[in-house]
Amino acid sequence: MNSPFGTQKQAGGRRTMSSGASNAILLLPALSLCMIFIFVPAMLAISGSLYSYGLTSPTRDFVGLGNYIKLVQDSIFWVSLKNNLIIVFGSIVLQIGIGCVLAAILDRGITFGSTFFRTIIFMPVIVSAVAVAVVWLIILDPNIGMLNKIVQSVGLTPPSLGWLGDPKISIWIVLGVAAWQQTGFMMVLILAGLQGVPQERYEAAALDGARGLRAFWYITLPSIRNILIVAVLITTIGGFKVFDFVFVLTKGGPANATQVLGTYTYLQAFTLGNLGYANAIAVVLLLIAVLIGWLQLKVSRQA
Amino acid sequence: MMSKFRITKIALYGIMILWSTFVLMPLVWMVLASFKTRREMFTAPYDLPSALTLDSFERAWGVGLGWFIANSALITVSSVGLIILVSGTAAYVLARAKSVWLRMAYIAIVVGFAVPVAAVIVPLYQMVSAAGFVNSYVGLIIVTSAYGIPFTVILFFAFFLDFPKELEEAARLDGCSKQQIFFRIIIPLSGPAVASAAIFQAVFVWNEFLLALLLLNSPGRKTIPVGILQLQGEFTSDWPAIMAGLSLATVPLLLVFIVLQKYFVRSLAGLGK
Amino acid sequence: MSFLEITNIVKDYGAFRAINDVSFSVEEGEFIVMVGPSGCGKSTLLRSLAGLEDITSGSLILGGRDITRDEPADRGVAMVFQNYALYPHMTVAQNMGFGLKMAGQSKADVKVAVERAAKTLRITDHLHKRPKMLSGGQRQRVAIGRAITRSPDVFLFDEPLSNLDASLRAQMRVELGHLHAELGATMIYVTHDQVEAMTMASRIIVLNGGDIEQIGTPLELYNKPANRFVAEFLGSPRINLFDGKIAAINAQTASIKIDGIADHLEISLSSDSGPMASGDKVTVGIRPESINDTAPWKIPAKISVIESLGRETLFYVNADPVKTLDPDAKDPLFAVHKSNQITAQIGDDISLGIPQEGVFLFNEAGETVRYPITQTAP
Repeated sequence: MNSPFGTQKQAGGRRTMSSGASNAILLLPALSLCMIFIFVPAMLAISGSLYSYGLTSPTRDFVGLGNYIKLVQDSIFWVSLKNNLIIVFGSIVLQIGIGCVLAAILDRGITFGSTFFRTIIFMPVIVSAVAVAVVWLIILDPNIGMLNKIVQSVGLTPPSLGWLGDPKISIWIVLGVAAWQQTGFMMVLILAGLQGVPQERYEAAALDGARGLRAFWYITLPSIRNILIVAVLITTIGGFKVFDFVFVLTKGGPANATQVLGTYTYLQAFTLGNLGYANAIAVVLLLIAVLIGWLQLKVSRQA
Repeated sequence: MMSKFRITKIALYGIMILWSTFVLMPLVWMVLASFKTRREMFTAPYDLPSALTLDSFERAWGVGLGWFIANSALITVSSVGLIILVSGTAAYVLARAKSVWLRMAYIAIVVGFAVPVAAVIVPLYQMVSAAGFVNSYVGLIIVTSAYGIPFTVILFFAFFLDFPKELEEAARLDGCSKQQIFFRIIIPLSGPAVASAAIFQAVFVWNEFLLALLLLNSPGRKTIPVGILQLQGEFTSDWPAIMAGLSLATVPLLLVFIVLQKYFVRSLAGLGK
Repeated sequence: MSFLEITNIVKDYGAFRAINDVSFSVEEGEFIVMVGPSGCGKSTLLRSLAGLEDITSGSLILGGRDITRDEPADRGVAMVFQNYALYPHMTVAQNMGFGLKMAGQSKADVKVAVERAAKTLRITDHLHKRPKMLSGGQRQRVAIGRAITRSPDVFLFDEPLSNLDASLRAQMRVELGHLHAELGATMIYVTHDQVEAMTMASRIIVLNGGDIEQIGTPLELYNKPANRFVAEFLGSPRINLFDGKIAAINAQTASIKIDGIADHLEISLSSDSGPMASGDKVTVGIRPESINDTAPWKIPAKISVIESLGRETLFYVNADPVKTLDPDAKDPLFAVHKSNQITAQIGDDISLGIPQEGVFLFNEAGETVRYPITQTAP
């Protein structure tokens, strides 16, 4: 009688059963899809990380924590983790920072042409990351790329190894391309929040002597606190999910300088065939994901 | 005073124009470059094309771009439909849930949103191939949908929490079962939420890369993102053809966006709740 | 057996008991109004009758049928919600006919029922419109029409007039009264507005903290409140209450000492007076309209506030050192009601004549131990 889908009814009878059954009908399709294709693979990744095996190998050798011991000694793993963090924090600063400024200008700074600017700046969000990366590959090309021309025209020398060929620069280029695509998303998200701030609040603030930047700091930012939290969470989750940009722009190179956890997992699994080891990298990514998911839950409860 | 005000205005417009140009330039160049000849691309890559030649479009199309677009359309439409249907019903139950079990189910789904495909790709690929669903549309549709569900459930959950409870109670008194309440009362009144979820998921599925790369890899079954990569691989130095392919794959979508941009923007407004 | 038997209803929300073992019965055709402060359980009780809340224990018998665990739609009840709860995506006619449609009635039958109900409520012209196009009063009619269409055994109203403005509310009160008479239907009505309760009810149920304080006709409750709570809840302005102490008592009279007044207040007692003893603390109650100029026992006071309403005048007066027992007021004032126009100034001295016939006495437990002697019109 105490079915997991029941709605906590004291007395039994027809109601409890039918309510539980209809809950199940409505909930189970989504829940089972998530279970089968997200949580079961996650569990398998954890158990698989304790073995050593290849894509086609018929047997799996149990190695215990061997893969993890290898992992902490693997400098490419640490570079990957560092790159994920660079993308997370860099994106928060660039995408949310610039997005916030652009949104504030669209909300209260200008009136003429605001729809026009909003439309243009949002456009790259629609384009697939792969297409974005391919266009930028050509723009960043060391021979005829547009960026070289621009840099040369202001009298500077572009990096001799190419923008994506120089291990010191390449991860920052990946970050920049991501910002080129995603800032419009953050701008529109924050703009939606700004437009929800009632005009009276600004009028009251004006009467209290807060205008312009001070009104933005004391009135606008606190009013869109929830939206900013959502924006930070989305950016953080996106920063750890990043795969497409890196895969197409650099394949993790040069010399693994732009490897992120996602691409490094892929490299170990499908290029090098070390499935067990790939799973161990994946488990680190999973732990981070669960941590962020938990944070998200805490925040959404609060909001 | 007046001049200070004007300087501010000019500065604000300056910022907007600067970023817009930064955003627009690669896209405009992508389209312009597709009309160039291969020679022109090296001699004068940033000038306007001397003549509008469609050769590069023909070359790009020859790779099978038409198929890529058709595949992506099929997969996007099916997945978005599936995602909206199952996420909507699930979110409704979860938004009305009082039991601990259902609350845990919601928590699981929220955590699922943060799980990157790359983190589970090894077992996932093995599962799908063991089930014989590699290179099957159905396989990719179902797996892609699973990854679209958490975000959509979160979106609908927030919307249904605000849904007037009295309407549902009135419907119960009018004799509706839970399913009937959902399909006859909630869904007809959830147009904005459904549109918003559909837009998000359409963009997500259309652009999804990693799953499509691994699960649909036979030549005729690639989606656009995977196809573009193939294009780039095949025409290493034929940039006009690559640009033509990119233009064909993205410009129609951008036009759809420009027409519907109001709804795209509105769909984001619900996220901050 | 009565038409609707409500027996030992208990409703718990976790550790919180919203309804505490409530029983009453309703006769067919009665207009029952449940009143009480917010959180008293009146809405929960109504929603339990509708089946929107599952009760913890107890039973509901309607027309001899046990409906305790029935689905809301199977109970033979219809409900009118505070916010109307009209389906925005349906026309007025579809809204009204939806319940019958879900019950599987033919299109023709639904149409007949909808048109009949629409005629009763004079909304026939609006049948093809969407709720959004209607005014508040019209929406309210549609919500009532939706209930009528289903011809239920019992109509349930959950504060249906609280979203209307004052004049429309007065008009709808009259219309609901007519409708009740016309349909001869059983109605249970929840409100926090005592005017609605007094004007429309056949019987009022006063609820407080999940318990029934008293059930009775409006005048019974007004004239013979079982306790201080009921006496305070009905009547506007509120009854004036102040502390006293019984100085002397015998079978016929009681002499009450009020702090700050030299003379004792002499009260006659009768058979319906409760037990009292000399030295007991009591609360003295006097309704604002009972205070006059002629009674021999007087409290001196000063006018603080004057509300001239045209045909009547309200004074709020400071009778220091006699304080009224009003937990909300910082400076407790006596309310005095005069049914004519009076010219007076703030600060004027006034004598509050307290006629002994009009006095309520409540014991320390809050129970009424002395009712006023009601003068019924000849």
